[in-house]
Amino acid sequence: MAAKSDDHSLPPGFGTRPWLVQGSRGDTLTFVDVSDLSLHETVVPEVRGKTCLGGMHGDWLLMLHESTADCFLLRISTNPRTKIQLPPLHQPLNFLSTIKMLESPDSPKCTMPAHRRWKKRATFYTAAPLSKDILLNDLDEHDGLGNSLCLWEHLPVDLLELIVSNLSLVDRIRFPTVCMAWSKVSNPIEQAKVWPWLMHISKQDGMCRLFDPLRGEVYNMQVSIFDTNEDRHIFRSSKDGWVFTSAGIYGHDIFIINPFTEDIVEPPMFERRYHYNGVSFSSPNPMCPNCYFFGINSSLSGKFLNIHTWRHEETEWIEQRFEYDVPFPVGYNNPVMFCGKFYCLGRKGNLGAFDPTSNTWEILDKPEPIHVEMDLLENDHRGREFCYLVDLEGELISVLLHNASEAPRVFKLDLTKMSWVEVEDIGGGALFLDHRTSHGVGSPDGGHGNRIYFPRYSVDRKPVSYDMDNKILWSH
Amino acid sequence: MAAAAAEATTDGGGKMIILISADGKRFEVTEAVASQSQLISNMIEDDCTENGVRLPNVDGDILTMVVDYCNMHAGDAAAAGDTMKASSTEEELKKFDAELVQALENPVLFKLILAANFLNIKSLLDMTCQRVADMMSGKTPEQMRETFSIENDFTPEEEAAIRQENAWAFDD
Repeated sequence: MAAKSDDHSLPPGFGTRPWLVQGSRGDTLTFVDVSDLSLHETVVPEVRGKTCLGGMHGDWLLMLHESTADCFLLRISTNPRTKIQLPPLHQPLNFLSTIKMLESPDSPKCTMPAHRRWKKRATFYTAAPLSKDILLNDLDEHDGLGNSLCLWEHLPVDLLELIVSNLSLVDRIRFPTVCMAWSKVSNPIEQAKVWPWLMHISKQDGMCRLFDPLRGEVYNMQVSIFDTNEDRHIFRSSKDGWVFTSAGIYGHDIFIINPFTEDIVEPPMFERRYHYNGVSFSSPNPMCPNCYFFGINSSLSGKFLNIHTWRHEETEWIEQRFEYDVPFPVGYNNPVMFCGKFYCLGRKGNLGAFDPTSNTWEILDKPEPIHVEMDLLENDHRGREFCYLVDLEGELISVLLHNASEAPRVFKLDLTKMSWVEVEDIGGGALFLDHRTSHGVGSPDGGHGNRIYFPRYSVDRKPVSYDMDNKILWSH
Repeated sequence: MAAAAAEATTDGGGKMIILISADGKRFEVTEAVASQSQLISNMIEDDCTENGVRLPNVDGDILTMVVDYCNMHAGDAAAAGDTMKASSTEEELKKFDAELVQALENPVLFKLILAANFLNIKSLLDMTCQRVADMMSGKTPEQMRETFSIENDFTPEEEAAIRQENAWAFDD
């Protein structure tokens, strides 16, 4: 039975010979007199819920509150007890083996810490004014790390964060569900590595199917608007996780939805049926009041062209009509927001650009068309070929595709000369092409560089892709 | 050019440093090799490597791998002046790194990460952390637990709550 002392009193003989001091998470410290192993208890409210990292210079205890990182020195022999507040200490305890205080806290050489943080110098944790005052050192003693069990859940937080920074979206979402310790690691989903996925609505169950072409995985997501509404939904374009959708038999009812959050932006309905060759918006967040919405269409001959714009405060789309002697047939692909303008690829391979700040549209003299001759109305296979415009890491790329049995032709826009240059590789990047929206990814996960992905996949979840290095089309 | 070459020789062939592992194994390396560890580089600057550098957190086996890695990558720095040599070294290095990292499994990978962090060798730390991320890639939470021998310490309610926000990502 331990002798229980009242507050502040310490067992006789304390300070004259070595004692063991044990703390539980409560407010009682147990003193073990190593000469006769007798026990003495003292109530010290300051230690409640804290961990004692060590004792030093006689009767100073270094205390840490693990959840708040509150750290302080406590001298238990003075009355009242002396407390010196230290900066918060976030380093996990298993990394601090030996704790040393170079000077006694009551020595004149030891100034009160005026700093606010522990300074990490390699693995030394010091509370400044630099290393003279207090040094937590894990170098001198062998702390058993070399032989320690492999405890991944207790890897220091900064290392776990370094690992997390390499994870892709789904892995990031799953990571915190592995164990309690990992759920506390800072893990911003927005910073996940991402690449385009294919999305469609399943006719069987009304679920949104998401296909990850690089992983070959399919995910199912319930999106209530697609589920409950019987309207015919058609995805028209997508950007930064938002999907431009038309509904109704004429496609005149349009909205832009983020399927993950189910946030919706509703531009005014069209008077007639949906008729754009391409549609896009300027901001990564279409809910933003400054976001500009832009749609374009042309007649088959390319002699008549309309552009349509809408902003949040406007009650309807504003239409501008153009008529050309030299036709500009707009390709069936989405405008690309590039250097503040919407760029539109014509089927001949030249470009038009709309500047939202000045509200002006122009067909650019340069680059010159890739196809000079094109019989737009006759049965000309060039006129019917697929063409795509895509931004790859700040460069404009166009891809022309005659048919599935021929290799796609890839052109990069030389911005200084404003001319298309045909290229054999795209610097390790990957292109994801579709007439509704095309994306470029600079450095996709291993083994997917220099590839062009098409919006199809096989039953066994293999994407259709063209390998530019080996000039092979993988259609499985 | 001549000055740079002379400096490289001094660095490469200069002072030797002794590293001592937790279990007392001794490794003699050049300053250029050892300096890839920012920790040791600081110690060299502070002139406190005279009696060898004791690394009580690093096992002999792990330190062998670290020293191999640093030897390989120090050659890279020394050959920087010579383009021909540098390009062949770069290819060798890639191969060496790829082989090293592919072979890494528990618990060596775990210890190597701690050692790279302790010794502050950024390239080795990045490479080993990338390896862990690759090992997580495409796995379900349960498979991740198996891979890394982690116990699920959530209550079923807690686990359901944390999954709920992105339920689509948990089709298992």
